Amino acid sequence: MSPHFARLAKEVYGYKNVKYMVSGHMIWQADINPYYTEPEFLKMALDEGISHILVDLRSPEKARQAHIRGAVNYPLGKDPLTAMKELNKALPSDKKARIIYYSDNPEEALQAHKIMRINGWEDGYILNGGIDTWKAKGYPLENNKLQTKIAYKKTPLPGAMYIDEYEKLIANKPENTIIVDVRSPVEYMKSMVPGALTIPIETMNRRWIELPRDKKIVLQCEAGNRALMVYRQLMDNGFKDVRWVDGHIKDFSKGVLQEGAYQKGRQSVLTGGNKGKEGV
Amino acid sequence: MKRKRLFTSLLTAVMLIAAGTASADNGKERISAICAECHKNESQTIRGTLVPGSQKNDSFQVQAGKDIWSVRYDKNSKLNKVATVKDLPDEKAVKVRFRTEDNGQVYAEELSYKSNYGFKNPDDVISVSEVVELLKKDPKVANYVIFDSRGYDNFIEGHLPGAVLMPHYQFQAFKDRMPADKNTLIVAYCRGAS
Repeated sequence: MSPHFARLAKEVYGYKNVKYMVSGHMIWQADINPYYTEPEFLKMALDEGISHILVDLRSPEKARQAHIRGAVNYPLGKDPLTAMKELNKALPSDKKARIIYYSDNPEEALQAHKIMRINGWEDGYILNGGIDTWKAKGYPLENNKLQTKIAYKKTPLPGAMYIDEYEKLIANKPENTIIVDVRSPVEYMKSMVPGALTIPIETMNRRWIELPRDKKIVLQCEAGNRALMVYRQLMDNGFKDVRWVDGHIKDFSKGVLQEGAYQKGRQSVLTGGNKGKEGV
Repeated sequence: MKRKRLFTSLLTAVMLIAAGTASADNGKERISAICAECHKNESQTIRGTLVPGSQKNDSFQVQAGKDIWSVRYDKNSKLNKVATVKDLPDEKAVKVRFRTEDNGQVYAEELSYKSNYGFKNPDDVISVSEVVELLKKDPKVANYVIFDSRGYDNFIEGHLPGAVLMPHYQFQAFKDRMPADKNTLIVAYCRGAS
């Protein structure tokens, strides 16, 4: 959605020099570039059970004394390649496993991330600010509870619904569930799930109040990012039963999204005159 | 010669007044300065931005320069790439072709806007390797800022070094993060143009 922002900055706010990185963060990560996760995310991952592998790169003495919960210790030391070879051996087979590296030296985390990325570990992150920032934020540390084995089991993100479950839901059309498509008009007017409600994320700040609290809400966008953002927004506003589709529409089965479904289903939105009905 | 010029300017003035009456402009501005950089000021046409929160299923407001236009529309209005103005973001740049109704109400005959996907001028695009080079420089010295235009949750999960959070859908709330200098290089990224 950077094109939307770029257009706004340039055409409405008059910034002369606006560029956007079309390839986005995914290509950035794939190209073996440093990628940072915030302490807030790691805290949430620990609290909510979001699957990850946490690697403390400091010396065994330092790591033992005060480390983040669930960390394994692979001291980078003077021979980073050997240390990372050891880590590589201990990791699960899933090369897409989320790995978070931290140290008290930003260079170390950067180096570890790079070596592991070259070796095919796709989803690596450097803990921004390392253990010092974690500590400064008042997040808890543990003493002498380092893990010796890496236990990793992929679990869905909070509220996530994978595509197979979403498609089953669409097939069953339960009455107590509302599907909300949060993509932009150009996208949903092309194709969408018939009967879904459309509220573009850009308008959600003033329109989430339109959503009923007594129904289950399932949010869908193109790739999952926007649906996740709206999920957080609704949960923060006290909604209880919200899910978001974690998957890309290109992986949907044929026929799930239907061309022209918006036009077919919503001709009544504008009824003419000043008595135009509300769009939901 | 002098008389002829006087006559011409009188004629022009009469024509302007006539045009003004016909469109009931009341001297209102029809085009924002930024729109005017690329577009002409046309009669019966407003070029400006949607006033935040004004988007309804039968009306909306457009800010053109210092003036705000209240516009009515219905199913007979030609809306391009959208079925209800309610679905357009705050401050979206729009073009409205209008007529003035007998009661003075401004009515939209046609509304258009540029969708995000048409915005693919190669000059506006920066590659990953260019960003890598840029990041080697001090943002203050090289006068640039990298904005992550996704949301908070995506940002804390993972972001580029030095990136600043600027959720595209909450621009109003975050716009004080925009640099004061309009010449600052702004690099925006999200998941990827897909």
